[in-house]
Amino acid sequence: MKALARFTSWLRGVTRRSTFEREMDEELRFHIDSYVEDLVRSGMPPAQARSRARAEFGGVEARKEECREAVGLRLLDDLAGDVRYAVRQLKRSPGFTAVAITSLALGIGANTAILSLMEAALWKTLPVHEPDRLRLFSWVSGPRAVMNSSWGNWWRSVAGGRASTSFSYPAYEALQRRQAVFDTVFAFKPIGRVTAVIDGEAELVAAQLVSGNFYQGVGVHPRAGRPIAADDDTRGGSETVAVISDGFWARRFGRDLSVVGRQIRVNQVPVTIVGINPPLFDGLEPGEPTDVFMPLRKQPLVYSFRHARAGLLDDPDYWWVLVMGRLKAGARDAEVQTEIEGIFQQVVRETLPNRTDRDQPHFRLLSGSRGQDNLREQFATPLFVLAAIVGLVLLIACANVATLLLSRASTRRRELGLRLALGAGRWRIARQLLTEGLALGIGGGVFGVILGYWVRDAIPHLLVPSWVAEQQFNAVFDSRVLILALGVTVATSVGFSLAPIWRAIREELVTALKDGGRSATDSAQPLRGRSLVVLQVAVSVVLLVGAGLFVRTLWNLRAVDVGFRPDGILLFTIDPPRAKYADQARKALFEKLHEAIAAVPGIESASLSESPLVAGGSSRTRVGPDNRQPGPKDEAWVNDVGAQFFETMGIPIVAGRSFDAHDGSNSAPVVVVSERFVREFFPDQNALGRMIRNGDKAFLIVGVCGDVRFGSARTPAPPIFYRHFTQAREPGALTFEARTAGDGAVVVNGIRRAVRAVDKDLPVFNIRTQTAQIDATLARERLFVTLTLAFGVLALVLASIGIYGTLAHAVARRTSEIGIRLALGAEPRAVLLMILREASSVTAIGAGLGAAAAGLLTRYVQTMLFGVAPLDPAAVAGAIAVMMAVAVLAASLPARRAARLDPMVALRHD
Amino acid sequence: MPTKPAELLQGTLDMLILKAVSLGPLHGYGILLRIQQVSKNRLDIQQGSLYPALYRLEHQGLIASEWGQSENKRKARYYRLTAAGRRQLQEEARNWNRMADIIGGILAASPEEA
Repeated sequence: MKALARFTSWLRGVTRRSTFEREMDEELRFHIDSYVEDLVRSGMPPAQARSRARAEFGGVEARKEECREAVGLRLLDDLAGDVRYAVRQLKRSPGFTAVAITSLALGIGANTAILSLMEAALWKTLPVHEPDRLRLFSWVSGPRAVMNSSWGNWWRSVAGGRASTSFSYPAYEALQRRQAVFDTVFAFKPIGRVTAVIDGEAELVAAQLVSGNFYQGVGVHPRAGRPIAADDDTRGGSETVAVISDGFWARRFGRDLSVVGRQIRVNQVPVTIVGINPPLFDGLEPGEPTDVFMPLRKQPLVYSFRHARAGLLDDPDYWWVLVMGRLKAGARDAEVQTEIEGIFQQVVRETLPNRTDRDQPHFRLLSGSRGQDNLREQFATPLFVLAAIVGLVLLIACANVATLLLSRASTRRRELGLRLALGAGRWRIARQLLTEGLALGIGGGVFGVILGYWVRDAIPHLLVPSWVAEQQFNAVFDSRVLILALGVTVATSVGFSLAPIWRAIREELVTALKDGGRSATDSAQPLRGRSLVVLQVAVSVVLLVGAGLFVRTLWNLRAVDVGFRPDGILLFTIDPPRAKYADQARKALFEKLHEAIAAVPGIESASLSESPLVAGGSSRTRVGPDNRQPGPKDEAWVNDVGAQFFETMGIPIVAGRSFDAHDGSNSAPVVVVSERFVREFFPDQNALGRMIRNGDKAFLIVGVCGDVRFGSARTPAPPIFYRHFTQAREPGALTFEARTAGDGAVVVNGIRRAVRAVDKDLPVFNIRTQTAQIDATLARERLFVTLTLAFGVLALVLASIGIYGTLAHAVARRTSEIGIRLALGAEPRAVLLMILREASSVTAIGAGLGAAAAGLLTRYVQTMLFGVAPLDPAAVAGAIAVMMAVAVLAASLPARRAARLDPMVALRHD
Repeated sequence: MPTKPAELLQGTLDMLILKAVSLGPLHGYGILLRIQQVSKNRLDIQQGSLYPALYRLEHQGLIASEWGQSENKRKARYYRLTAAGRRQLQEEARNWNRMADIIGGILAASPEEA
């Protein structure tokens, strides 16, 4: 209460300062005037009365100052004075100020950019009403999951079992009906890209199915039109409605409000747009924005799915929908977990047959404030490594500014000594130095934040392959990032101000005045101020070692033999709408497209496959050799390909044959297997002519091909068997491979024409070269090479400024000493070498410490490296060599200046 | 012969101000007059030192001020006691009386009792 009164009175004084001063004047004048009147009334002449009143009152200005102090305004006045003084000081040495502010701006800018990425990828909650009350449903079980099929995210649990966020639709309905701890339990499912026809033009849009209570549960309301309601989420032929995202509305409709009520076709089905989502809300999966939201129960219409036996909505054995809930106010997680686990056990028992050979799943309640969060998992480690790197850069910048401040502090010793002698308290001087530090820091911080804002999306751009139109995630620049950046700035300023403050408050008043900041020899304390240089060098070496490791990793990955010839291959993907092409018609369409594309001029040979090679994806399945039922460990990778696949990709056939025109849906099922497959399933035997069992089919091995890297260049070639795509299950999207001879652009036009000739509504997407595709899987490695190199160079520049600054200052201070040496006959060369020797010894100490620190730190990035040890001798030696060379270069300028000193001038220097 | 006014004891000015305004709102000059009148001019108060004390007390929330009209028709700032100020005054008065009793008792002690 009292504290509040004090604060409001202080605030009144601060914010209405002129009123405060005027009222104070008026009040004191009233006092004196009243006294004068009383004196006059008692018979004193007015002039005498006035002077007596003034005398008895005492010094008016001193009283005012006491009044100001009484309400805490004094501190503020002092601060304003300090700031004015600090700015004047900084203006007096513009060179120093520019270097310091630039160092700080680079350090703080890098940190701000990374913070804005961390905000986007790790911290920011969904832009919905009370996101903290949302919970995501998931389950964990042993390795043998209870359901036969699933579609969605799953991961390994800590105990080595399975965990997933997918549920069957009947299970969702039962959970939703029986629970009482949530306000709303709702379901959703992103279904990837679907074909939408708008005004007769076909394009691919990211679609998502949502339950009728989704909008109510998520707590988001469309900016225009209405949300999807329970009435919309019905089975059967009633009108299908859609809500579109703000981004899609802007991109495709130019923010035209009349789209509400318009009809588009999604996968051939007419769909009416009824609403537009608010900006920022683009679904519950950060980094995977959805364009079109449609009711979940319309799934059979808008998204035909053949794999689930009874249809997705009715099959209890197919787990695919994501379920979230909005907790009732005050509900406790532990109780909710217990209640839902109970219901979940019942539901699993009731909907699925009793499978004793499977592991029973258990319900797990997860936080839903970031929705189904894939970004965190994907980017947490790289972002923490980046945060550490930019933290080190900032440390160098901080040390750099501290070095510069220290050099200046010694030239300012006389000034500070004088102020101490005149009675300024040490605390007062420290406050002045801190204010100067903060003024510098804020200057650097302002430029840094601008810089960070400017480069914030450079990093996500480096991570996303160029042919993907959608940005995976964008940096978020919000108040939290700004506050953190401010915190970083203040902490940095205090950090680098400590060195000069520490020196100032220990300063002996007498010595400071006596030798005026100069002595004949300064080598009594050779490391004074140089420990900061050692620190800068050490941190630079750590960053350089990191850069070396990442460069070698990328180098090694690029040099990996992938087992096929990637150059000259063009890739593109076609995903025919299922409503138009299903089953045999789908396979026939792909055969037709294959023929048409192979005939395009400039294409030497063409093929198609379910998974493109080294593109980040691969599929695995169970196989049994010699027609046996596969055991739990009989797993191999599989790719469904067309004829000419091995020829087009340049994969050698080492025995037997490849697929040819005779293989098709009506001929006997055959497979080609890789050499590694033979080694694992038919060791030391001839695999040709043997059978393998996969699913409910038996395949004859007709060929053996060379090994290739499948999902990524990092993992060794796995055992793979190839099916002809017409003999496998119904394909989804297939990727075509075309080995081209001519001009890429001409060939692409030819391909588009050929596809249009088959079906004018078929979009061709993700056109890229195989080389670009492999590069895209190395995006993260490339990002780290780029950033560690950039920050390594930045660190080098900052450290060399530090070395240069310290030595230049040391030479200036030792002018007399060097003059004496030269006068006594020292060779200029010897002086030059002396300075360089000092520089290199300081650098060598720093480099040694840096190498040791790198030894401790690099193990944390071990999982990100490839083909190189965390303490690679070449990387460490290279880093030390570069650092030494740069240090000697930076030292050579002041060293040469020292060697060129004229002894006479030097001796008169004082 | 009139006795010389007593010097104000350290820290007692605040208490006197609180006491003065406890009887009703007063402006700064009025507070001075009231203290002099009640003390029958036996206390020597530095006129100027009154204001920093007033500002400090207001800052602490013990008194509150507002502008009003003085008896000679001028604008003046009037101070009044707040609830917190009243509590503080009671507290200080009690302490003061206790202290005065003890000190008085000590000073009144005759040599035999020591």
